[in-house]
Amino acid sequence: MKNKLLARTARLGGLSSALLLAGCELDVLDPKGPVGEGIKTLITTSVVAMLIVVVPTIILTLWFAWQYRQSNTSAEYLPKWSHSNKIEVVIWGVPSLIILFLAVITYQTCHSLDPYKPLEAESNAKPLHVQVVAQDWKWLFIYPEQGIATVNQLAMPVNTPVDFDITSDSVMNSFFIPRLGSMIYAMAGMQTQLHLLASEPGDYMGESANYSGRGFSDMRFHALAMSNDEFNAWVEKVRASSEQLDSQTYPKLAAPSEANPVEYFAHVEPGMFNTIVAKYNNGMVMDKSTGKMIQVQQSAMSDMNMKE
Amino acid sequence: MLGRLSLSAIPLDVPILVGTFIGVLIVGVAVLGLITYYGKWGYLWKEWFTSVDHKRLAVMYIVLALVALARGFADAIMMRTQLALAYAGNPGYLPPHHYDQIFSAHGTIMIFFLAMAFMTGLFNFIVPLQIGARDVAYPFLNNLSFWMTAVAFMLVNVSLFIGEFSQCGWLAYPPLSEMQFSLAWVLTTISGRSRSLVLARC
Repeated sequence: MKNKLLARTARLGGLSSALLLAGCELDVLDPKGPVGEGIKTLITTSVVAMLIVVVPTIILTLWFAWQYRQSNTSAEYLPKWSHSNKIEVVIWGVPSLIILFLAVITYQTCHSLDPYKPLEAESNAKPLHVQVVAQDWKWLFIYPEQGIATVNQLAMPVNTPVDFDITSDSVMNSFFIPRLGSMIYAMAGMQTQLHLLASEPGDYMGESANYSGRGFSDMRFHALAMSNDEFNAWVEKVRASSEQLDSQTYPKLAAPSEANPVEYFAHVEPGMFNTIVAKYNNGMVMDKSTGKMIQVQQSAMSDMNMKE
Repeated sequence: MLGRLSLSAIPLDVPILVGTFIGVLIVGVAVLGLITYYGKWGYLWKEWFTSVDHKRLAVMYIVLALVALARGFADAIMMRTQLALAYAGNPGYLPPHHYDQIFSAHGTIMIFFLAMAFMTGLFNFIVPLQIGARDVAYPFLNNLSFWMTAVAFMLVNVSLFIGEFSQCGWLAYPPLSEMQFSLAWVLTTISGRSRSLVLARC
């Protein structure tokens, strides 16, 4: 009986310390790429700017309550006081300047951190092109230039811009690698774009940031940033897989699954991404280079049946 | 007669829910018992439940909103505890299936039964006084609206102890809210309920 109580107390203690430590994993504030750095700078600058008002307000509130308490007879007593130009200038001027400052940096970063804006690499590295498909409940990554595809694992060379085209073959999701920066929605029948760059090798957690149903909490992937040589070796490893992704094998992959393991596909049928977008968009897909809608071949469409 | 509803819909295997149910039962019996003990049923029925006075209805709306707040707040505490525990690979104490219901219920209850009921309570109290009217334009409809809200709130809360709550978030946008992804029947209570609220504003 006593032991049980002790164990329960210990567990409760563990629980409360876990609650206290819960804030320790702050991926967004520990970025590993220029986009994440930009976002971190924006967050810290805005918070500091806002604290210029918050901190003095809290201190003055406490100080006033103490200074002008009833028992402090030595404090100035001005029952007829009603207006001071100096105070008006400070309480309107400082917040106005802060809002102006925040407006300027918001406008600037809206453009400088635009997810659709291609990134410039220092080394002039050729960007890597990755097509992302959110499925129930896993992420499919298609590498059209390499002709390969993976599930729940995204590899990329460091210091190389990665151009993502993102869509969904199901409900809406949001594509997010916290330590690399911006997140963007994945929507059926549409393509969104995102440009990221990893400046350090590492294994970064990627997730869906928009609730999408039953398997949502396990809809995570590993974003592996590695050197060029390692990336080439990784591509060869994927090519060594015995699996293929085409209109015959796709429906099996797209069927709902939870906590899907990493999968490699040695070959992916060309145009797979466009076919997935087009099947929710009357067979049409937007050509990125011209901005015009184009028809996707019907034969590929009819093979990949709509889910409903 | 009950369709697919059977005893198995009552989650007797979830200790949190059984505990909550016993708690609700004890508090409910105590409240009803106290009303009976002090003989206030007649007074409540005549002066409050059937009242068309906008101020009394406003008070009842706000009381309902506070009850909804208590439920929504309990959900919020459970969600926050789960979020604080589930990191770095820890699964936390709630399975995803249960968590999804809690956060859908939290959103639904906080918006439709706390925020809306509270605002409606305030409108009901203040607007007729502001414009110098004796009451709202349709006093009986006002009372009917309140009771539709109250019944809808009870229906939504029934899912605590019978069956499950929706798991598609309070926005319930398609296709996530379709049968393919969700149990849709609970949503019907929400659509039924917002209509009554709009009526209450006239």
